[in-house]
Amino acid sequence: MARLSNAQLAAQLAEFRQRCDGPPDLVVQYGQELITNGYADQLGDEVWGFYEQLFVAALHTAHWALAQSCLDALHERFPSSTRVRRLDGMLHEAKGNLDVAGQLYRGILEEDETNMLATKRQIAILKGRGRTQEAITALVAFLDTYHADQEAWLELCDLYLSACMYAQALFCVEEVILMQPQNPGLHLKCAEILYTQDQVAMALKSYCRVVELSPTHTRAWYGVKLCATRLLRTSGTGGANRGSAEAASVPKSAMLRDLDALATDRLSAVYASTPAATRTDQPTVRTVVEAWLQAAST
Amino acid sequence: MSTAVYTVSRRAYAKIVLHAAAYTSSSVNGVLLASKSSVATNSVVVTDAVPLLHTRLTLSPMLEVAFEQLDIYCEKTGQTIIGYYQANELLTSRDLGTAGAKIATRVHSVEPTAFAVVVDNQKLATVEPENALVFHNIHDGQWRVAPNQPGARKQDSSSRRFELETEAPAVAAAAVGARLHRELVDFDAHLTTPSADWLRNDAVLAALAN
Repeated sequence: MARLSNAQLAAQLAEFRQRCDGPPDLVVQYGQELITNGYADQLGDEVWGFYEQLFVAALHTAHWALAQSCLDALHERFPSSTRVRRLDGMLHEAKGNLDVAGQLYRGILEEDETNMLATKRQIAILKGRGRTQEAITALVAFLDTYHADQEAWLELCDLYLSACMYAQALFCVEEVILMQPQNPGLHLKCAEILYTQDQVAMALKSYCRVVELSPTHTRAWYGVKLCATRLLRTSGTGGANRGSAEAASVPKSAMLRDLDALATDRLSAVYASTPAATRTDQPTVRTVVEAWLQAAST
Repeated sequence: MSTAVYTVSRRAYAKIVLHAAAYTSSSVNGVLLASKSSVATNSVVVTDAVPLLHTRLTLSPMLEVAFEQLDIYCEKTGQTIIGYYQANELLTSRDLGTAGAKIATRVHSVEPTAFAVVVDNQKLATVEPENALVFHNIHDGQWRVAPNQPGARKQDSSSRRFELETEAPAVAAAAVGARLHRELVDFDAHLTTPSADWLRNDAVLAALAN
């Protein structure tokens, strides 16, 4: 891999910041390089966002000294900021000092009970202690006040999923879909929860919505294929309870066959450009998928 | 009859650790493979690990696809799924959990000698690399920690024994040090980048061989 210039490293980190992702170990590597090269000083006002990003990545990868130096820089610039105090709490959380972190957040909330970020950290502590049910209760109360907080709805969804409470998880995703109806990722989540609950026909509808919004979504095409195959297999046997909402939403067999064929086409096309097997005892992903598509269709 | 010994190869062990290292803040899971012919013997070598998911382990559709494709892959390569592994999101959590136990039981229903492994996250970053796998056997439908863990001094002769190939923890630690976890692809990641090989992870295998 070619070495990246300082400007390229900084641009890559800025992109990670914007998308709120980026592998933590890569962020640490790039960030440390920029600091060593003395480039951090040239970032202007962006440097504070850079330090915060690097700080969080350092927590993920247990680089305590690096985290501390980012925190020190932020603290020097913003001595009375609650946002920086919250970061201090997160450092304690990452090191496992949950009580100290909890006290810090309580202190922030005593001064300003509407500090949303400190409340969220308190919920994170409950989650960190493995107290899922209490975290759920606290998040539900939080959402009573901040009903439009999508991140909180999605976190609540994940907590419900980790507790296998699928109906509640579904409700959370649907709340967010109302706010962001064009986001394929949300419909995907919805589809996967429905499928897990054995509501295959409803899941198929959600998967179809995903590929409608994002036509090259491989994961969703797999979902379409999976649902259509299963519904075709059970359609003759009466499958779902007659009269239920699930039964009423099963498409006609002809439609299912069309969807199945379309998904097969799309998936074949996705793998057509991947390597074919050179030896029969060493199948590639493509040979396996081709065999799977054939087996599922018969 | 002597007790059966299950040995996890360096390659399989390294892939489990790399999978956990690739997604530090979420739970990950996958399966362990052995050659079909060795499963009935007293000496079973876990030759490989196949990483599956790193998001929403409790949702089933993509897991179903992965298992169907794995069955085809195993059929073509003379292998069988001998175990299920999981590393949890929380550092101190060593529970299979409801969903993990269900998946492991599904593996067990196909292969009656199958076992489950939970990664002890706290042992992943020790100064001297040591075994981080906690092996589980199923009894009456419940997964319980197996008596004969790798390196344990006291052995229960009535039960099978789990071992690691020599140097496996050191090899895995070196692989993480070489940032090989960035090359590892699980089924989840494969769905986003379909050209990436989740079944074999050749790029990782080639680097491990060096």
